[in-house]
Amino acid sequence: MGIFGWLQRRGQKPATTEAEPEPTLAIYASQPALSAIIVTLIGVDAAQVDEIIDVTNQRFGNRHKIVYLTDSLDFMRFRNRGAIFEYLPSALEQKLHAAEISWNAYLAKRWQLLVSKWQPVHVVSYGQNIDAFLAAAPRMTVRTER
Amino acid sequence: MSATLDILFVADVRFEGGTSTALAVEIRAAARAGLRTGLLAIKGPLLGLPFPMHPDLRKLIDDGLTERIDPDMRLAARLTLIHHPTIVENRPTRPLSITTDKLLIVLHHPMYDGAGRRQYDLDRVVAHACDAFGADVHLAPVSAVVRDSLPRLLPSYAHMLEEDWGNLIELDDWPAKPARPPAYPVVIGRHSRPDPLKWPSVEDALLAYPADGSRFRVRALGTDTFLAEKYGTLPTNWELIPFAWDGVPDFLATLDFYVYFHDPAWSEAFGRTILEALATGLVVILPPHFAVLFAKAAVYAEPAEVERVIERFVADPALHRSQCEQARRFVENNHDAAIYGDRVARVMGEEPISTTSNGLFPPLPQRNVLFASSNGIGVGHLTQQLAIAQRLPPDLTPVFATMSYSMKAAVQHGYQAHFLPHHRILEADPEDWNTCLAEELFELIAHLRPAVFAYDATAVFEGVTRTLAMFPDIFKIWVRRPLWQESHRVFLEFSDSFDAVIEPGELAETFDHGPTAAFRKEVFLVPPVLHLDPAERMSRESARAALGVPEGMTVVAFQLGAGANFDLKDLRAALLAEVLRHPDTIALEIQSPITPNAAGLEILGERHRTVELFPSFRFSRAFDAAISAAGYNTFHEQVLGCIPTLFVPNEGDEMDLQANRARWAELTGRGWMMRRDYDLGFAASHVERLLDPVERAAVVRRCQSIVWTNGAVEIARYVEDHARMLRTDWDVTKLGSI
Repeated sequence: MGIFGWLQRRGQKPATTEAEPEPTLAIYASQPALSAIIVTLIGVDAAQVDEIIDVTNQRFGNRHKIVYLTDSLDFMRFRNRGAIFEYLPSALEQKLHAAEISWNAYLAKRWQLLVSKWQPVHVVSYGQNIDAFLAAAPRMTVRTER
Repeated sequence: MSATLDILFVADVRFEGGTSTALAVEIRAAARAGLRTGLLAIKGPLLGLPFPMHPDLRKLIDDGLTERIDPDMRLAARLTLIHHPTIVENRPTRPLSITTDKLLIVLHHPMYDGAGRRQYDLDRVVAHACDAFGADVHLAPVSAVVRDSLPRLLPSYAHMLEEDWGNLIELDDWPAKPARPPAYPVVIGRHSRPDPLKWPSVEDALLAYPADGSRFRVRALGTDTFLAEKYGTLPTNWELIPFAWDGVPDFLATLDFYVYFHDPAWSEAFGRTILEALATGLVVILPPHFAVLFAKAAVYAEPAEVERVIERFVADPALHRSQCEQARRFVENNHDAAIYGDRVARVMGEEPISTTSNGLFPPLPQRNVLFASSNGIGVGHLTQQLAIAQRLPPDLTPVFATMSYSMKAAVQHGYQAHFLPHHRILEADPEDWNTCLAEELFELIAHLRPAVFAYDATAVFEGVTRTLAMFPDIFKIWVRRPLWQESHRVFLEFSDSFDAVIEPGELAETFDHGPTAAFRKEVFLVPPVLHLDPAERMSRESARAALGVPEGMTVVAFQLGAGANFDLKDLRAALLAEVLRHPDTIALEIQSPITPNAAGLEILGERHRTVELFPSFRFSRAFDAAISAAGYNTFHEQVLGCIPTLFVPNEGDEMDLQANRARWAELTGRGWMMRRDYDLGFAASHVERLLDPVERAAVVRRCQSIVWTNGAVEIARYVEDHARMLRTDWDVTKLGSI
């Protein structure tokens, strides 16, 4: 499917007697046969990522879509292996930008959204687990002059 | 921390005509009087198109003559002046923490136009100003024309100022023209913002501005295609000059007579342009209804009488001189900016001595600007956004949300960044993906509360527009580059989801006949945007040392992309072979940070090198020539950086019309073009030419002739100005449950 593939479905929908159902917040809502597993890689050494992808792929890849949730900026490591991934800013990034957003509130909401989006049947953790990661997220600090 | 001001000016700073010019004079006069002033910018309902801030007003801020005010600042002002009633015809969409001892609304426009149509609802204007600033409203008409248009019974909490708030002028800026007796052919002139209503009816046009070229030359500043639309074929003795912000005094100095007639449907409140002509000491001929404003300073006539009036002055040099002097004297006595201090004192009921100028003014509150972009397989949109972000002032914090795998570039520049994967890499249905995207973006915006949302992409996704509709108060900008393919036209309908569309300039603009070309008048056009200015590049010596290039070698940089959507494998191989056939060359293949391993580049010997560089332009003085795709950023870098380049357009379906850029370069002598499907057999001759020093020098010379400023600076200033604007351009009372 190309970048414009979704356009064909835009425009006026046929009128129905029943109210339109609310769109479901799930990335595979229209492909119910697909199920997903989230593999978190938080604070994981970049050198280990390839191996983790191999291991998790062997174990879950046949039955599920695997979504890697990473705080690494080395996206090509995932793309080169054709892996699906989502990104959360690392603890260091959060600290650097603590005056710009309330990470504590935002990341809690972000995780809820990711769970709704992917509806994972399992969450597998490498490195810091997601609960500890979210608990450590800072509240917004007062902005200081730059 | 609460700040205090002597005068707070509140204005739609985007007005391009007399309202902004008059305001600029007031601010300058107040500064000269030692008063501390601030400017609260409004985005009012009158201007729908993305006008930038008036340059005179922007300069006053830049020069520190007035403070930029953020709507969230806590302020106390001795006097608040709202310039133009329409800017509060809707309620401000946010509460203000501003108190004022006295509140004036300067009425720059009559309440009714020439056709009797109401121009603003005074009840709403007064009520909204009163609610926003918590003070009674004093109405200050700019002229008797405006005063006469107002109702006798004023709205509650409104009071009428006894004196008119007439326009002022800096006399030094408008030197009197040396008196010289006019002789035929005389030069009749006029100037105004480009608006058909500022011109007379078809019947009157040729009477006021005669077509007889043997006796009259008509010179008009502020014209556009609308004149031909209004009048049909225009006389050959009409010299038409486009609207310009500056150079008006010089223009007026070339005239013998100033003749101003407007459309009967228009009602001129004052006529600042007329005042400028009078200050210049011109004989000014106007329709009789202006007599109440300018008395004996001007001459009044019907359009049919204009020729006779001119004849009278040509025949009588003494009369001409006397009228010129009278005009200048009228302005000196009634409209000299030097009287501003006294006027303010009368309104305040006290001497205009600053009581607030001690101490530092508090800094502007820090605000986030969210840059969102698509571009999974490329770096282009993100790079362009970095160009803007890096030019923002420190009180605006750029944050990035992108679909680009090269997001790391934003983080490495020190910015907060978020990744929004495109549906293609998730193998998701686009509708499902858009639903998720909308939610993800909503949360990000809700937590960041950016003042400005800047979107950079050709494709506009429903997930984006759905979310933006939930945040009507955020100023939304779509930066879209030109040279769209016809298949992209469908995205034009999303223009209305944004408050402003900005189009970075295109060197190959004349080769753009795509979907966006017809809408150029509706967008804010800026010069071509570069991430780095060419002057910011490393010196040739440093760059070659950093790249390890031996002395005497000819470096040909290759930037053909990863070929993910347009396979250039064969062409690349042919070009590399040809370059390397020359013994003194180095083929330097530049990889972007997101070149996939799968690209599997085969290394063809010691003189074939690959290197990951971002931004590669920083090193480009090391290059003697280049072979490159013709994407927006690379193309403009190569040409404006004067790098002799053989352009190989990426002609993939999703791309912009790169072939047109390459063709422009070839036909203007600023590069060459080679197309994959047409020219593969001619690699040798293309490379031969590229390596010819004489040919390269000719290209460099042509490239050096381009006059250019970086559009990124203009976009950054636009973002900066709009990040602090208070909005009254939409009616917050109709917001409903959003």
